[in-house]
Amino acid sequence: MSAPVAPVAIVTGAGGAIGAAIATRLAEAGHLVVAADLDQVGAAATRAGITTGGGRADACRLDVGDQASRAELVAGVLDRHGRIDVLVNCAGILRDARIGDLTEQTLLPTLAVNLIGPLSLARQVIDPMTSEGGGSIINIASRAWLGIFGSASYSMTKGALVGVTRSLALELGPVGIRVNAIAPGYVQTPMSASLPPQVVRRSVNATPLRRAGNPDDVARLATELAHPQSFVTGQVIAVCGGRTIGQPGMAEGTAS
Amino acid sequence: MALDLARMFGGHPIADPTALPPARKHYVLVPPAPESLSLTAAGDDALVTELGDALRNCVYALQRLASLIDSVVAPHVADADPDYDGPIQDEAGQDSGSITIVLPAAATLGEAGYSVTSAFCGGVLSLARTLAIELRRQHIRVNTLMVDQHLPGVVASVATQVTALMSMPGVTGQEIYLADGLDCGRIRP
Ligand SMILES: NC(=O)c1ccc[n+]([C@@H]2O[C@H](COP(=O)([O-])OP(=O)(O)OC[C@H]3O[C@@H](n4cnc5c(N)ncnc54)[C@H](O)[C@@H]3O)[C@@H](O)[C@H]2O)c1
Repeated sequence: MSAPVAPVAIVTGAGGAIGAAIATRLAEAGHLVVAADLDQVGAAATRAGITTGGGRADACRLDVGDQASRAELVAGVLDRHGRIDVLVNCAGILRDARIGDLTEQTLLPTLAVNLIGPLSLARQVIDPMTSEGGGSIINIASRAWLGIFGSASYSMTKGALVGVTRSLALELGPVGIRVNAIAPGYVQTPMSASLPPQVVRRSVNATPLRRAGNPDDVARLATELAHPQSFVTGQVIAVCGGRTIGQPGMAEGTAS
Repeated sequence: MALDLARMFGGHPIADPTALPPARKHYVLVPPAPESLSLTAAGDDALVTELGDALRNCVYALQRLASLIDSVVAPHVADADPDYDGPIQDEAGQDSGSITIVLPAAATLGEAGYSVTSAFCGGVLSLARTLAIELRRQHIRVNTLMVDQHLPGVVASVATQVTALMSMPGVTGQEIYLADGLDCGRIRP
């Protein structure tokens, strides 16, 4: 690396739609981005997109649900780049089940990937961020944290991310580490592509701005939250086209 | 602040949901939150056992309680109307029952040094919100109390509130802070 001291941002799930958009925006804003994903091909594609655009990026395989893989990621980033300024916990899985249908098969991976992994990574970046005089942790939650039909375990893990965001922000504010959550509404991505078309229609119709979100809507906010001069911490910010102030979504298939 | 709400309010032995009392209409769940645990002090193993297992236990306890109120809940039946957004009472204006969940107020609102506890509370809060939505069609109500155990007269206040909620057929998905104003002037989660 020739140019010194670019802030280093780890983005998990950077092979996915929202993660790739966040990685790309952060690189545009001058970060050296570590694109981490279970999907190595996706992570490499994100890296390639950034580097051909003149940005700086690195790609890593990460299973965020696996303890050894998480430790390896953090150690590798510190080894190669010497610092960590931003962590975006964006890797996530959506396994739908109503409360009565929830079993270990849904619960265990959802907890591991959406909650335990992000919290463990947050813990592991606290020391490196503290040595840099601060940093920004961004947890990608979901509108589902407000309650949503048919996704009991998903909404539980996203609510838990919001909970940890608030207490961590209180605890780490004095050392300059900011912690925020973003709660996207329906965003057009491979994750949400599995939803039936009528569900998507219903969701868009219930959105005051009358469109689905796109990954860049989330990425622009994440970039602002990553900005070292930001005065925002402990917040959960909805990127939902106004969806969360309107119809409550009591019915099945208003998911995401 | 020790988070011994579960002990205070005689929490059910939720690790063994089958040990819950036989069918009654109204239940109070006081899930044991992980004791004042900060993320900085919680290794990966503690995250799994203290947080993950506690949330799983809570899911299973709520599954069990909901199915005690209405056996249709588990396993869910395919013919339940998926678009139900009607009233939460039956024609006679009655509900099938209610679940009231009790959480520690300070950790739910956010408190330095309590990040793992707050993750648990946030998880349960969102789970309760989802259940309030999902269980409407079974006429089951789900409400949450955020309690400061140092509140003067806390046991009586919780008892009064729980009793009131049991007899309020149209009230679900509510979050009530019994916390001497701890939530005043701040954004609630
Ligand atoms: N798409 C939406 O409508 C929507 C709405 C609200 C919140 N979200 C959240 O946004 C985030 C990104 O979602 P997306 O829509 O871009 O989905 P996506 O499926 O395109 O991306 C998710 C990425 O996470 C990766 N991933 C999954 N399991 C992993 C693991 N164990 N380790 C590492 N990486 C793993 C996947 O490989 C994928 O690249 C998720 O946390 C999701 O819950 C999405």
